[in-house]
Parts: sequence; C-alpha cells; structure tokens
Amino acid sequence: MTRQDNGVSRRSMLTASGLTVSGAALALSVERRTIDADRAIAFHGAHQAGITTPPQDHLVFATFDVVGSRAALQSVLATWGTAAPLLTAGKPIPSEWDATYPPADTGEAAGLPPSGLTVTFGYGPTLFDHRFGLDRRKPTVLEPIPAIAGDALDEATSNGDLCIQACADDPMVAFHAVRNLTLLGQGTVVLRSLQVGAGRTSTTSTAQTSERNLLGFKDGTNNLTEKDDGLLKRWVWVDPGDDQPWMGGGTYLVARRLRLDLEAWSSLPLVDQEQVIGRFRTSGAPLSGSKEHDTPNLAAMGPHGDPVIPANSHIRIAAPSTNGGIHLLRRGYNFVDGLDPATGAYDAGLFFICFQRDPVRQFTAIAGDLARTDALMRYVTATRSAVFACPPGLAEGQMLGAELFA
Amino acid sequence: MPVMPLLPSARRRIGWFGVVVVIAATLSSCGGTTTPSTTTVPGVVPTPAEQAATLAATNAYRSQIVNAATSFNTAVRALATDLQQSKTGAAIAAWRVAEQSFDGLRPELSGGPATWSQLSGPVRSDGSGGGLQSVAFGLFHGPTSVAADASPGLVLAGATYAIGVFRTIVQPSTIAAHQVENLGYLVTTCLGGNPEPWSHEQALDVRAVAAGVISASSALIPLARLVVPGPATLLRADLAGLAQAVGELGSDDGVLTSAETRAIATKATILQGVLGQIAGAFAGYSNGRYFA
Repeated sequence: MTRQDNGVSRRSMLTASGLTVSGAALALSVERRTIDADRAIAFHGAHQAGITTPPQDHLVFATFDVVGSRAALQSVLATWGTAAPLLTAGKPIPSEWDATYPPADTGEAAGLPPSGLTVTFGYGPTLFDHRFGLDRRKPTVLEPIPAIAGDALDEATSNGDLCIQACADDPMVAFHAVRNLTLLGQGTVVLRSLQVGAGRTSTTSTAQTSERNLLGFKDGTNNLTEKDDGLLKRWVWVDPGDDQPWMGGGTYLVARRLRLDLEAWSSLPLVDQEQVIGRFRTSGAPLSGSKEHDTPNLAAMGPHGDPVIPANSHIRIAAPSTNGGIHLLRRGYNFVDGLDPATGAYDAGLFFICFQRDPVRQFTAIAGDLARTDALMRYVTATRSAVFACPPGLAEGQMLGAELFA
Repeated sequence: MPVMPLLPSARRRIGWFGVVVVIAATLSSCGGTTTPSTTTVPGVVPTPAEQAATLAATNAYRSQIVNAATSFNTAVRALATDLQQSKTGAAIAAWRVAEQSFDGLRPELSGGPATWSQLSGPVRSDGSGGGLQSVAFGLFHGPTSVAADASPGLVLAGATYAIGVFRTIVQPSTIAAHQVENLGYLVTTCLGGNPEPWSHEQALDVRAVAAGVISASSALIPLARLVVPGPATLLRADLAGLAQAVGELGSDDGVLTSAETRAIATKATILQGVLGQIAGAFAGYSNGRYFA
C-alpha cells in the first residue's frame, strides 16, 4: 500500500498511528517561560527567517562541503528550498509509504508541533570558486574571516561551502530539520561541522528578555531588534546596489565557536568579572547605571579619576560608539560540548552568530579591536570560524539558488 | 599626590561596609623608595606586617616578570644572530629559552591575545604568521629560512613590549587573579588544544608556565597567612600538588601522556579555586605604587 502524506501534519500522523513520543523528554533544557509550541514562522518572505525573527531557544548549525556537480548542487538547493517550508510548518518530508524503502522522513519529530522552527541558508566563499562556475556571482565582501589574534581555529571544520541554521523552541525539531535536509543532499553535500546550541544569548525583539551566557552575564542587551528598521537597513540588509544584485535583501552571517575558559572565569572575584564585562552581573546594568537598558556612560569617571566602565572592558570596546557607530545583529547560542578529553576542562562557550551588511567593514573591523584591547579575550578562544552569504527570502514557488544559476 | 585607584575587589568591600573612605596613597616621587601603603578602606587596615608582606609579594613578582622579559629579549637576539650564521643547534637552544621566558611574562603583557599573538605567533600549517611558532616551524619542520625571516620581528616586538612590562607594578589581588588566568592558559593551551605542533616539546611549556604560577603564588603566601590563614594553608598545599604533578614529568621535554595531562590539569583547576578566593581577600592591600 502506498500513500502520499504530503500535507499531513506531524501531529496528525501521531494521532493516526497512536504513537506517543515525548519531545519534552529529549529537551536539553528546562523551559523558563511559556512558549507557544504551535507557533509556525513562515519560511517565505522578503528576508529569510531566522535573522530578525525572535531567537528561539535551540540551535543546530551545520556547514557542508559540496562534493557533487554543478547540476547536482542546483538540484539540492532547489530541493532544500522546497522542503524547508514543510518543515517550518511542522510537516514531515513527504514520501511514499512503502516499507520496502527507507523512510524519507527520519521520524524523530513525529508528533511535535512546529516549535517556531526557522531554517536559514547560506553560501560560503568557497562555493564561488572554479568548481561550479559561480565565480562571477561572488560578492566581493564574501571573504574568509582573516586570522584574529588569539584564534586557535580548527581548519578542518572552519568555513564551508554551505550552511544551514535551524532554530526552534524544541531541540528535536531543529535537529530533525538539519538531519532531513542533509539526507536530501546525500551524495552531493557532506557535513563539515555541526554545532548544537542550547540557550539563546541575544534577543532581536523587545518582547524578549535578555538571557545569560555561560559567564553568568546577560548578553545581547544592546542588540538591534526587528523594529529598528532604519538601522537594519543600514547595517544588516544588503542593498541590491552594494555589489551583486542577487544579494539584495540578503545579509552576511559570521559564525564563531568561542570556547570560554569557564574554570578560570569561575575563580575570578565577582567584582573583577564585572570590571571585565563592564556590567553588573545580577542586574545586567552597565557599571555607570542601575538598570539593564541604561545607556552605558563611557565618559563617567569614578571618584579616583578612573573610568567607571574600564578602558579595556568588553562593553566599552564593543560599543557602537567606540567603533564608528558600527552595529551587528547578534543571534548567538550557548553550547556545552562535554569535556576536553585531554584535560577534563569544559568544552563549552558561546556559538557567536551575527548578521551584517558587510562582514569586512563590520565584524572583522570590530573583532580586531576586541582582540587587541578587550579584557574578556583572555578567557575566550575561537576554535571555529566561518562566513556565509545568506540570500534574500524566497517567494512561494521560487527556487533556492535560482539566482546563482540564472 | 596622585590618588590610588582601588583594585576592583576593593570596591566590593566599600559596598559591604557602606562607607567610602579612601585615603590617598603616597607615590614615591623619585621612584627609588617604595613607601608602604596607607591606602585602605574600612575593614582593611593593613598592619605593618601585612604591609611588609604586600611589599615583598609585589616586589618578588615584579622581579619575576622583569627577569622573564630580559631573558626573552636576550634569547631572541641570540636566536636571530644564530640563524643568520646558520647555527641551527644554537638557535634551537635559544628558542627554548625564549619560549620559557615568554611563558613567564605572558600574563603581564598588555593587550592580551593581540600581544601574545605577535610574540607567540599563530599555528599555521605553512609556518606563516611570525612569532615563536614560525621560528619553531623553521627549526623543527623546515625550511630554516622561515625561522630566519621571523626572528627580526621577534626581536623588535620583544623590545617594544618590554617597555610596558618593565613599568608594571602588580598588586597582590591582581597577581592572584592573573595566576588564575595563567592556569587557564596552562590547561586550555599548553595541555589541551594543539600544543607545540612543530617542536613537540610540550613539557617545556608546561613546566615553564607552572613554574611561573608557582613562583608568583608562593610569594603571596606570607600575606595570605596574615589575611586569610585558612586559604593560605590550602594555597600552600595546592601549589605543592601542582609542583609534584609537574615534577613527575622528569626532564623529558616531549609530549605528555594522557595521564600526565589529566593529572596536571586537575591540580591546576583546584589551584584556580583557592587563588580566586585569595584574590578577593587581598582587595585593598596595595604597596602604594602604581603606574597608570
């Protein structure tokens, strides 16, 4: 017996089969607030979802090497662009139900609601080399992030031809999306790296509260939000006239796996931690203020003539006002990848993700300053780094990648 | 008379006691005599013995850092000369001294990783990027021209950064905090990660970093005994534990076994805890001298 299950929701599949699968049992963290699990975020739109849409609690970020031909790449991108809206709607990958074949959908998300899933695609610099004849489509600012002082990068897992960022309020839903999209590309793409993040460290919405990173501090307090239209237009969305017209409405994603020296940090006196960050740990307020969203007064001087927010504190060095007004849209996640097998130290930190209109003039420019002067960098080591061009969103019926092969 | 900036931890004590009373410190005008501090906050009134112990700790640490900087600069100059004269054996010996000296002065290099990067250099598969890593690539992997090309930059960078190091006066609380960070470097960089990929002389690095921590922290014990006797006892024991674990490496400079790696990492992490406590307890203890 064969049956098309296209259009059947994962929940109705569950009901029909009488199976009980508890996604909650597999959740990596305890939910801290009410989440509308039935919330579905539209895949189609002027911009890709997963950029300015409010960050969900869980991330699965995958990078890929393309090992197939130009035609196969074109086919995989088109397939991904067709499958993604099904996944974000909470539907399985459609298949013929014939038990003599492997199932098209891997099934682990059966019965789970959409959970706010977003799927965001990106193209790495190497996709535009000679292999696929795409060199004329390469944006000039899409270059690998240059080495930054203090980096200890794993070259084998840094960069990549393609990326998929899947975010959801249920970790199983995010993993399911990446796993199934990877299967759809089997033979043409191979996974280069996979990062699971649990616990967002930023917000792009005024409706969300700031969360804490593994250092114990609120993160992303002064991030751009979805309502900052003017700033988003200036600092995040690529203008068609910038360079490659196909990138108009798109953006550039920079991903950095930042391992934090949690053991050393935990042993620092609280006041020293606060001086390194430039904020109070409990309230998240800048050292010059009393509330989290107080604007840091970088000119404030203490009673002894020293700056209230130290000269080498993180928020001073990273502040737009000390970086020529440059903004980044941050969307990072905490990660805990167990222990360093050699030392027994935590292999944990922040999977930093940011979006910008020009990675060279924005992220790279700021990161250089951070490495030179930011006191926090003594506790941070980048172990993976990548940059991707995220094309604009797709209209219904539009193929992902069509702009590259036109 | 300049006003002594309080160490970060001292501000917490002010908060606890609710009174802000800061007595200005005396800065020796000629720099030749160090005046014990009268800088304090309520609740921290150093006794003469504590002042003497504070002075001893800061002076000992200053000597340690200055000696490391001097040794580094001497070694990289010798290294450059040896490479110019194609004396590879002598250059390797000089590199070893430079490497150990760098480990000794790293915690006090201003600028953090950006400075370390210039002196230590990045690990790249082609040996590019300069610093001690490029020299090691040239000496142990080849060609030696990579080392010869990198050495003049090291000489210049070493001389430049020595200026900052020579002016460094670090107070006991900061000494302890910096050793916490230095132990993190020992665990994540010297023991974990991809240590010394060209020379494979991992133990050389581990011994040098541990020796620096042990020396700096040992000099804090007399003050700790006076201020926080309990943690002082722990500090002494934990330092001995780290010294023993490192001592068991013997004289081999090579790659550590997994058991050796885990043993030293464990001792280092334990030591971080007590040093952090002591860093907090030392808030407000200052020898009264500082350079902005």
